[in-house]
Amino acid sequence: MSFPSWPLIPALVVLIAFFLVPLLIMTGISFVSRGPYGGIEWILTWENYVRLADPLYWHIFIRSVGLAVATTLICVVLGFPLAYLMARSSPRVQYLLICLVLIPFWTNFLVRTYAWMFLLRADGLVNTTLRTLGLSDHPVELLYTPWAVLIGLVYGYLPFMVLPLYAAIERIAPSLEEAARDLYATGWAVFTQVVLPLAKPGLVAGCVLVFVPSLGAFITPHLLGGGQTMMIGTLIQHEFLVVRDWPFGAALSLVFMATVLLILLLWLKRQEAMWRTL
Amino acid sequence: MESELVGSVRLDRVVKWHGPHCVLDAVSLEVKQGEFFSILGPSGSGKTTLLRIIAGFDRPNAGRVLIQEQPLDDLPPHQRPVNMVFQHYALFPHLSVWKNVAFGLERRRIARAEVIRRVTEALHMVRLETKGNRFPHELSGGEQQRVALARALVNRPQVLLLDEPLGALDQQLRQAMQGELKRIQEQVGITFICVTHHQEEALSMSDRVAVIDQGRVLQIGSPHELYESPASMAVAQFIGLSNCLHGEVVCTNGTLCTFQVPELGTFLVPKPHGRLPQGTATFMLRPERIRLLREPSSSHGENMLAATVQTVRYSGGELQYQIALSPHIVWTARLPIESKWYEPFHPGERLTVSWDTHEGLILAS
Repeated sequence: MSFPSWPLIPALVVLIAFFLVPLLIMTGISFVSRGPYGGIEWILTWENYVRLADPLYWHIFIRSVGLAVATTLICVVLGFPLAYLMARSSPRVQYLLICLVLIPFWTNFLVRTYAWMFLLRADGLVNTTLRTLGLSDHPVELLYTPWAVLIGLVYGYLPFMVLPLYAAIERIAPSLEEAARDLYATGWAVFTQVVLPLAKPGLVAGCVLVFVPSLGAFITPHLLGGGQTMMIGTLIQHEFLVVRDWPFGAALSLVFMATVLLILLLWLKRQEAMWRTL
Repeated sequence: MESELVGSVRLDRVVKWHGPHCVLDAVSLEVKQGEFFSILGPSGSGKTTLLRIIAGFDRPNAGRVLIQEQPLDDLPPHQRPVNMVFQHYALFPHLSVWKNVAFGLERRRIARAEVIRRVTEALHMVRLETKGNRFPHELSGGEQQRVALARALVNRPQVLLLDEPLGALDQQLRQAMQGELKRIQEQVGITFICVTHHQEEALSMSDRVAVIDQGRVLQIGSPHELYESPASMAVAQFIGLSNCLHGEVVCTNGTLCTFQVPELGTFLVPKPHGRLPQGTATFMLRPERIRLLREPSSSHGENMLAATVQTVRYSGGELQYQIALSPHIVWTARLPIESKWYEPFHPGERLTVSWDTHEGLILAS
């Protein structure tokens, strides 16, 4: 390559210092023992990884994956129509809709999650409304359930689905949809045969951007799920800060990271194969 | 249904508003079965809107579109017996050439064997048999244009709509494709309605042309009629080059009238058809009907005017002169170069402009 490589040095330094080195330290810690008072004792052991075989952790892991998959699917179903509407509106309306999607980011995520707690709790807005409308005579249990976590995750990560989808759909010339309609495609066929395949890069990007952080989410399950819904994120936090078992927390983090990478690779590979046969 | 109606299209006082702007002002026209019909107009004249109304992408605010004398009114695009070749082709970038062409047939759930047969036939017709596995971005502009054509024609529509079909091609390819389009149209015998702003394209391919401007039909006729007897100055100026003079026309008996221009004197012009423009009128003469003479000669049946050469433009096969009849009146003359020993006139040279008294046309001012 002809262009100089020195402009890459700062990024490389940052990556090594704040990503690679901590990762190596964590790997090291995951192979040693926990001290009696929460510190580290430099005795090599496989124990931390052996403990992971406990079905308890598998349940937490499967529940987390399930919630992340559900979050991603709901975000696709909610996000696609919105992204399409945005992409096909007049420039003024587009600008307005992008602002609406981005406005929540002006407020701290923690504050917004607390706001959901107020909405979902027994005397919150949702339950008050249900009672006023006479749809329910006793408060529906929402807060501190997996449903609350799901609502919180969808709310939090929807923009990460909408924005890449919007960018992808905006690049599809409207004349392609007209051409499809001219060639006997019904509305559904225009969507499945033209819009969806061409929006694929945005869809894949959106799914990754929603799935990965949902899987490792910590604040949302912690606040909205309470102690009831332990997820990977909350489990790791628990091991590091409450149990003070750093070696086991490190092992959990590494296995989790490796699993996410594996899932993503397998999924992307399958996507590729699926689109090719279409 | 009588067979001569298949593929006939009739627009009946079609009106279209875009906000406060009237895009089509009661446009009526009839296209016959198997005709190559062009709609010629400058950009913004409403011609593309007209095509989109026939295709069903836009709804007229008033008036009707009839195909085979059947009103289409509320039929959506995919239920109309028409197909469209889009301005920038609108080929599906994620599908191969083959899949692009098969798209319409597959949506209609045509049997697999029939799809294969018809796509093969369509690709053969546009001479792309070997490119079925390519993707649109791997093709040249002309090849993409032909894929768009095959993708529409494979469905055997009664009417094919073409929106600036050659607009994105360079000059040489454009001329080759004009012949190709005409050949294909004659081969399939389908009605073609072609929108273009390119007058040469419209004249060379079409059986008939409608000239439209600002949402109104100015004239409908064969290319020869439009060129030789334009109905108005607007049509004359839109089709080909034209020279004009303003003056007084005086007619007595016979086939010729006298035309008087204050600065230049009097000469003979053909008697206008139909109603005589009273008093002042415009005389229009095509640049290639003019002869330039070094010496005035008094031959019968010729008009003569003295002039001065202003500029000369050489383009290989012909010379284009700007000649001043008076300080305010400058005409264009186009003369073929018939021999390599031809001696061109030079700027500043005095000469005589001459033309047959039966050439030219009187138009209302």
